[in-house]
Amino acid sequence: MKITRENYEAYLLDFAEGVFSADQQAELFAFLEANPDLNAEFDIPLDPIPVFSEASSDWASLLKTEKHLASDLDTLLIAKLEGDYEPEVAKLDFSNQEVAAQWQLIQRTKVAAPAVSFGHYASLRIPAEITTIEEWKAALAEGDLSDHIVSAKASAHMHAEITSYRSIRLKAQTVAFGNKTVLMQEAKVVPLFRRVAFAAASIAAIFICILAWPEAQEQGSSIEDFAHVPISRPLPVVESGIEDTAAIAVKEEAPVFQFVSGTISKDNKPEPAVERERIAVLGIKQIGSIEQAETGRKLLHADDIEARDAMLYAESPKAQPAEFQTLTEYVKERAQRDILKVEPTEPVAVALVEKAVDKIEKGTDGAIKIQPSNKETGTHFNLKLGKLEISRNR
Amino acid sequence: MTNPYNMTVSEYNQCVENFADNLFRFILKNLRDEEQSRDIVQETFTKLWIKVEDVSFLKAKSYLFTTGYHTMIDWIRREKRNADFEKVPESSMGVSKDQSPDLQEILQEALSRLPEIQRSVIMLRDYEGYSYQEIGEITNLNESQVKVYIYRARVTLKEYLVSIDLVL
Repeated sequence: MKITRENYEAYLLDFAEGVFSADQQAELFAFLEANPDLNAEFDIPLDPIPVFSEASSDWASLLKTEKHLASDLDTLLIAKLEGDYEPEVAKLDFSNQEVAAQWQLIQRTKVAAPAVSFGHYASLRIPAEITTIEEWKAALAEGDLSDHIVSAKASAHMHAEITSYRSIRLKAQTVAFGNKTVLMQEAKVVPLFRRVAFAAASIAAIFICILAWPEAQEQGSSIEDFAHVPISRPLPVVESGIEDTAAIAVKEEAPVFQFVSGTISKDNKPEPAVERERIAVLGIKQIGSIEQAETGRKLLHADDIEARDAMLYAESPKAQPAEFQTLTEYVKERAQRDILKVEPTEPVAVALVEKAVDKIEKGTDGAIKIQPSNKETGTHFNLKLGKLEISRNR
Repeated sequence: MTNPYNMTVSEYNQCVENFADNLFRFILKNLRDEEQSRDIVQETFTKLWIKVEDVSFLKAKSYLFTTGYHTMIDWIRREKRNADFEKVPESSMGVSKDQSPDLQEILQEALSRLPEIQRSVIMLRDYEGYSYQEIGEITNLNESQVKVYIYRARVTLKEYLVSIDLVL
């Protein structure tokens, strides 16, 4: 069948599938040459394309040998630069201008090491007195290796471990004894004649005991006979005023939240725990969270408010991240709503929050004591930020 | 039972003296982020110290570069910053006096344009003098792959030099 403008597309498809014989291919090319507009449309190269058949294919010509590879000048010169043994390298003729020029060029690709100094070596060195990993971790936890910056970014797992170590450190208990004056002794001068009298009385008592010993043995006296004798223990004498009812608070740092409280009244009778215990526990928990969040914030970018609020939210499920734009606002809200349980406008709440905010902004860890705004109610606040210790007596 | 291969504190600190700069240079040249590079060096040495009972002093350098390299790769993948290493100008990274400053600057620029793996193998080869096998252990490549990457890197560097008509 002859190729025409009406049936040429079928021939082109056959050609594309590679089923044309050499004669058919020549006929197609002759047709396209006679119809250049069609050829322009399909952009078919008119150069003869070899038609392979399995029988006639010369696959061996596609195989490469070491000789092909070695003939690449770049390969040989790079092998020479790297010090690799290549038999062909020895045959290179460096008197040849081209080879010499290429060799010079390849040599220049050897990159010289720039002088760079790490600098912070102290952060990497281990002090000689530390010999084990455990000692190292303990030293980090205790803050003895201040130069070792194990930041959350650099080593999250180490940071978590060290934070964990630090969180279980006990803090010195805050115990208010009250009136210390009862324990104090005044210096007294004992006259000499009294000393002589005491000595004589002691010698007499010893003689009496020796004489009475056999009789006591016969009657079977023992230490149990004195068990009923009451032992008096001095209790602090509380005078008057707000400090009279000051709580004795004993707590440990987060995450072990423990708040033991009791009160000692004027007549030295213990009173049952009151609402302040629950409030204090809540306060400790909240500030524990805030401190963790604050530590995390420092390790993040200072302006990464979203991450910080997300952290706050994670620490406190009650909090809604959209509510707080800053840590300060968070503390305000928490102090007013959950810790003080008072209206934000109450003077004592305003004073407490203002001081709390000031402490937080300054990053200090000092104690804040809010004196009662109303002597009659005896309201007492004691807030210590960082590891918040807050108590409220009424 | 004492592990005969563990390092002493003194040997660990010797590693700090001997290899901290080299590791820092290797990471910095790849990342071009000084702060991040320091963090990676810090973390790498922390890992070495934690593994101090399992790593021989003789293998410490290899351990440091292997750990540092993989930490760096993890960071690059995490930050997806492969094509954004323009923070620190090349001129601030120090220049050796072995070659003329102009050529060295051009080479450093060419080096920064290499794909990450080619840049790493070239630096390990030229800066640290590692063998093909050692580079392969650090980068998780076989020797043939290391050779190929070094070859491609050298050809690219050569073509870069030619393209700017610096030589010949």
